[in-house]
Amino acid sequence: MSDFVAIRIGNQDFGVPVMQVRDVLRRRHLTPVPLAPRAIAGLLNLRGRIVTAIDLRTRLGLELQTAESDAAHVVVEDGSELYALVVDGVGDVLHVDERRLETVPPGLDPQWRTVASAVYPTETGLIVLLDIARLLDIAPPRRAAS
Amino acid sequence: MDELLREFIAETNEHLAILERDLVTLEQAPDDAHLVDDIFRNIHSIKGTCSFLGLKRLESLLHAAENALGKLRDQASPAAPAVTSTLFGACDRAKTIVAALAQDGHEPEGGDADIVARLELTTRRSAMAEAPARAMPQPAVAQPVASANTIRVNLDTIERLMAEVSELVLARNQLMQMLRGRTDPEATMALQRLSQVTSDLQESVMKTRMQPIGQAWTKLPRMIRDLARDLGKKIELKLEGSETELDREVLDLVKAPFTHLMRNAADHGIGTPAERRRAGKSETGVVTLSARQEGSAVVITLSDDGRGIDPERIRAAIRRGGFASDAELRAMSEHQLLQFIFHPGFTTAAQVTNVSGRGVGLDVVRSNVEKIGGTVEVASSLGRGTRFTIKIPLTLAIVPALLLDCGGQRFAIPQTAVAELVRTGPEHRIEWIHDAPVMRLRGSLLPLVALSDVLRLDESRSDEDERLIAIIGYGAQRFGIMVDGVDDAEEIVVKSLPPLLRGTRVFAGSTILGDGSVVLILDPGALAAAVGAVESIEPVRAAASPPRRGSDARGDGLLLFRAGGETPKALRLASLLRIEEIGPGQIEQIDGKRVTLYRGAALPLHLFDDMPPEARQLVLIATHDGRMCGFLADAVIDTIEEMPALDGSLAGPGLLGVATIAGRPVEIVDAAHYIKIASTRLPVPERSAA
Repeated sequence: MSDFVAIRIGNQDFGVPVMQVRDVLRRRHLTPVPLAPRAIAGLLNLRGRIVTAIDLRTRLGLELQTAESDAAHVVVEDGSELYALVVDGVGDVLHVDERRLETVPPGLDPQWRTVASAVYPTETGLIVLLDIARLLDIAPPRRAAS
Repeated sequence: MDELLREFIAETNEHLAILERDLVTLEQAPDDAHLVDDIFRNIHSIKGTCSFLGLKRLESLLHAAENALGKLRDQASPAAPAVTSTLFGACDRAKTIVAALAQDGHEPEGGDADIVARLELTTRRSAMAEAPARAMPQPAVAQPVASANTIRVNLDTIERLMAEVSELVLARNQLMQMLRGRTDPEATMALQRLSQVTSDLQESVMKTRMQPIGQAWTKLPRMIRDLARDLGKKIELKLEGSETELDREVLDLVKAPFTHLMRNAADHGIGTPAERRRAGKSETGVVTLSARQEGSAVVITLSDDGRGIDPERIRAAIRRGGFASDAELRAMSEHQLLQFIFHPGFTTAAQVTNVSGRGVGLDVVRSNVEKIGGTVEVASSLGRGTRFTIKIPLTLAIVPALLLDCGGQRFAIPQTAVAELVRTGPEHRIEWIHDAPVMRLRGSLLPLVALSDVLRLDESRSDEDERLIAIIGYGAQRFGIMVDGVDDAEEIVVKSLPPLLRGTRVFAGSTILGDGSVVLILDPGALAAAVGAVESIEPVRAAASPPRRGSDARGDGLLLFRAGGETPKALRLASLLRIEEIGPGQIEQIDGKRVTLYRGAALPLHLFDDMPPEARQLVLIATHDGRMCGFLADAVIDTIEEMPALDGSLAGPGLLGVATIAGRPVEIVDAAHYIKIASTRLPVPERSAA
């Protein structure tokens, strides 16, 4: 059994490994970063640490999905850095039975296939489990205007 | 590895560094009996620990060295060069053994019979006669390097302490912001107390990170000695202010630049004894390295009394390397020329020697120094010497910064990079040369760049709005950053940039302000790059506004430009209307005279005699009595505010005279003369058939 925190963007559910989750926050003010990749929503201060916020909607190419009002940040750790995933909603912790995990279907959008580690079917729908390290592998930012 | 052994290695490395330094001194003062004593004691105390730890090889090597020194001491004879050389050999061997010890945890295989034999031989020879071997007088107490009231602390521990104190500072700042304006005396008192303690704590922790700069210099005497020998030169190294303290982190970062500059001084700066004799100097060249604290910075100068840098060789090297055109070269001051030694790939060394001259170096020195917010400058006098001045911040962890407003966001910039702040107004206007904004400031033309452009931020303000310009000094470059406003200065704790943002190249880090908000720190070096390294501005196309209109009270200034020939020319700003750029197709010949179409009418053009027709040229449009004439020019050099003293002895038709500007002659063109000629000889201006 491994545990995942359920998050939601638009009408799609995802799972983030609970071992990597450090905090869940109500949406906060972000300091935008000029010239950064589009998927970077900004920076925030979490108890004196600077956290890079990732706009998961942009990262997953879901810009067209309308946002819900109760947006939140799921703070995850990768390496020794903290990242805040900007999501529409946070659900419960899922106890995942690994025998029921499905491999990522080959027909899935390539952008999704690289960041998804598996698909978990539940009674209410399919949950895409995310690989944080791959999720954070974001193309280098734009260069300064010269 | 055993804790005891680790400590021994750290301590022994310190002892060996001191030993090396003392040996260099001994070589210069071979009959200094006290020094021999010091060296003896030093070796003796390392040896003592060796036997305790069972390090047989190191022990017997040091024993032989100790014996040699003992003999020297007993004979009270000066240390012959052969003896010091052998002692250097023993020191090097000891370093090798300790290095292997640090790596493998045990002494390396092999013996040191060669060195032991040489030690015995050289001391015997210096003794002349077989001195009776007396029992070695043991020093009363072997002096431990660390006195009883100091302890060794792991660097990581100090770094962590520093990070925690930084957090505490932030928490304190946050609290202060929250309680600002409250009138609860008890809370205010408590906060003040907390604030004071935090500041004191911060200072104390900073102090533990401080190290005397001399620690970065320990290897230099030996290096200079070896270099002098290799190069057949006599060099004396003077170290001044080695007790000046610097943050450990900064110290680490400037070690390499010191070494490089030192090599440079020995190789290029100091001449051979014969050469120095011919120049009427003493055979021994002196290299002086000195450090002193100036406010929150440390100023380090490295000077030599050597050859100095020959501007002609710099010029030749600039030409060889294609760093600047001949025209640009002619316009350069000596100071500007000198700064080229910091350009990547620049070298004046005709031959690549073992020591330096590979064309890698001074640019690295400059970039290393600038990376930590420092500056490096060079001054030189041919035949008399060269001086490098390096200014570096005391610490990198906490820096005073200015907060700049741009596009509704705040950005921090290290205060050391900001030379001054200028508010736009009638006094300081933003002027345009084609689409490049510039500003005149005390006689020089500064390139400007809008921060919103660099950061690609939207800007919803008109050009008429008052703006603030932060003048940035970065190395030899000066430029202005246009911003919407400037907030308070604040001491910021620099945090590294999150990994995903490192590719932006504009930010040096991030920080959390007293109000808890996250702010990005601008990298002055990257901004300089964004300005496009515009060291001299060349106008490109039609100017959006004239450099100066009409003849107002200050209309006595000059526009310096180049139009063929060696000598720069100048036009009075009062007579100048606009600057345009035209291509070859836009110049037409009418009745043997050159004209161009300007605002639907033919504009007569004047071509200075010695000027070759170029592909694209500038036209300086001047007026007189309501008539106009265009002067073809290669490039605009500068504007100056005041009319300099004019030497009228060379005046003639079209030439008002010659003035000396920045030590160079400049021909002041009589625009009125040419305008009169052009308009009398030109047929009635008609619409061009083009």
